[in-house]
Amino acid sequence: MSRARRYREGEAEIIGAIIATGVMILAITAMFYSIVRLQQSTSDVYAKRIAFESERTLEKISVNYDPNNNTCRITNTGGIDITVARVWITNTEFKDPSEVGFQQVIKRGESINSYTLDNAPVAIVTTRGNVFEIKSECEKQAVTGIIYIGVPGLISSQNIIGTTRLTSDKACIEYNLTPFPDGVPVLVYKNDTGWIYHNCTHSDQTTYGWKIITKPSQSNINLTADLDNSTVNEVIVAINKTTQLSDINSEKGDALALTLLFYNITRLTNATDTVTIFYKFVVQTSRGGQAHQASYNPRVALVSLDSNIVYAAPGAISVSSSHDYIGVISGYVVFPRYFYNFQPGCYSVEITLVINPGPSMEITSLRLEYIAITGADILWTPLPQSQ
Amino acid sequence: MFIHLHREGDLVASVKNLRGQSDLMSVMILIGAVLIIGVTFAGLTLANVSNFTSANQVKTILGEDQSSIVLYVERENMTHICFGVLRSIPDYRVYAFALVSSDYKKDLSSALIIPIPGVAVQTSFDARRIHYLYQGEYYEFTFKGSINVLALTDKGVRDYIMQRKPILVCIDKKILGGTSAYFLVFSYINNELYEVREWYVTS
Repeated sequence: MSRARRYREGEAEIIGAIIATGVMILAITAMFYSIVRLQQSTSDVYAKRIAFESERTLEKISVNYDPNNNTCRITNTGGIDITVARVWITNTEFKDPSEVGFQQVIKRGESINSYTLDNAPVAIVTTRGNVFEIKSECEKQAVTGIIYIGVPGLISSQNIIGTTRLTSDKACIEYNLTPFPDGVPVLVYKNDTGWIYHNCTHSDQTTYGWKIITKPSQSNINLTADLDNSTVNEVIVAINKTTQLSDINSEKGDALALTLLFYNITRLTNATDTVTIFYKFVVQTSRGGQAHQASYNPRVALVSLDSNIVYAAPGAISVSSSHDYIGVISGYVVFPRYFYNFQPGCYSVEITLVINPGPSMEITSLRLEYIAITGADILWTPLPQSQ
Repeated sequence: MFIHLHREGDLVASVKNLRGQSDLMSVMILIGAVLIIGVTFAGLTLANVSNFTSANQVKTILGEDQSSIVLYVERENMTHICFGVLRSIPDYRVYAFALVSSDYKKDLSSALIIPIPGVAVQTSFDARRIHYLYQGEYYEFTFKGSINVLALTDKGVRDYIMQRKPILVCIDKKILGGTSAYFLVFSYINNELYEVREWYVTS
């Protein structure tokens, strides 16, 4: 074979190799890109779906029946704003919210216009695919006689503790503080009439209700009515030292336990399904220059003092802090009939808060902002709003 | 002597000429062979790559649809069951609905009702172009003939899918006549229907 021919054959092989390599690189790149794009797209849409599902589970609507006005109130009690996509007026007829004047976006914590039982929508459907039954829920509450506590927002306490029920003439809150403080513990609250106090023993009906404080004089009481600036006054566990009322002041590092028994506050019937008890404590601590650390252990029990039945559960709590020295302990406990098989009758609610502060910490104030009960009747007669 | 030399020179020249022609021919054959093999190889490779990438594109779209479509029961009574269908990530995507018997042999789509006017139209679809999902893989319908699916209109896609508003699809249980069925949600891709959701319905 001549040298020229071998040379040309070599040239052809190189050209062929370049073309083949180019094609291979092109093919591999295209396939690789396609696979990467598929993987990226898959993981991206799955992540978005997970986010969507978590938003979907955050949507919650509470329906409450108000027997005084015969109305149903719809409240967004979830953790997210809700957009209503469809309103079922009857079981077979539906409309867009705008067509029936239904508010399309219900913001978190917002309550929307009350509907009478007759004109309440059957159900509402959200843009995240949740269906909330309105009418049947409201009718159920109307039949079972659960009293709606009118609260603005998600859970507020002003109407619960401040003006109507806990300051009721029928209220009897027994309390116990451990260790016992230096002085007489007393529950103190400030309403429109001034500072009032409560010191009750359930066997003595003359101790029921709240009384105005005359000693020390109103002007000499230097307690802060609303410690966490939530616009809602708190029931303060105060110490009466004859000449003055002061917040509690625990020894540094000592554990503190407060037990509040709301005597015969509720009634469970055979129709009671699930009882939920909400609470909010406000605690002020002094950290003594050390790291700010304390554990809070709330417990809630439904107690029948007549038959010695106790249904107890640990609280689901969230702890937050409005500033350096104030802890807000709020939570709720659910008592489903399925687990507790309630016996009908009157029940007291016992709430215990055990605080284990850090070594150099002391508790300088302990308060209850609210207790709310849903799913069961509240027996304490509310006072007029002005009181 | 001269004559002899002249003839010898001609002979050498003609031999060289023949060699040149043969070299040229062999190079041309070589280049031709390389081109044919190269082009065939490139063609086959690109065809396979094209199939692969387009299959992956379909998989990508189907993956998105399977992850985004939310199907739930909105209302149910003795005579009707109504499903809500929405896309969690709004996009211009066309979907179709069908109802088939639980053995996948009978088209029961006449029991489907879309109460919101103008969002879907009934379309006859060749069953061979419909793919159902079974354990993560797509299979052609064993159906003979066609199925009357309800396909979303442009209005349906714009006013509902792209607004993340649930579309309402109801089933008249009386037409099921005591049998069970599958309510199927299809994604429309390249003139084919691919199942993305299903719900077992009993009357």
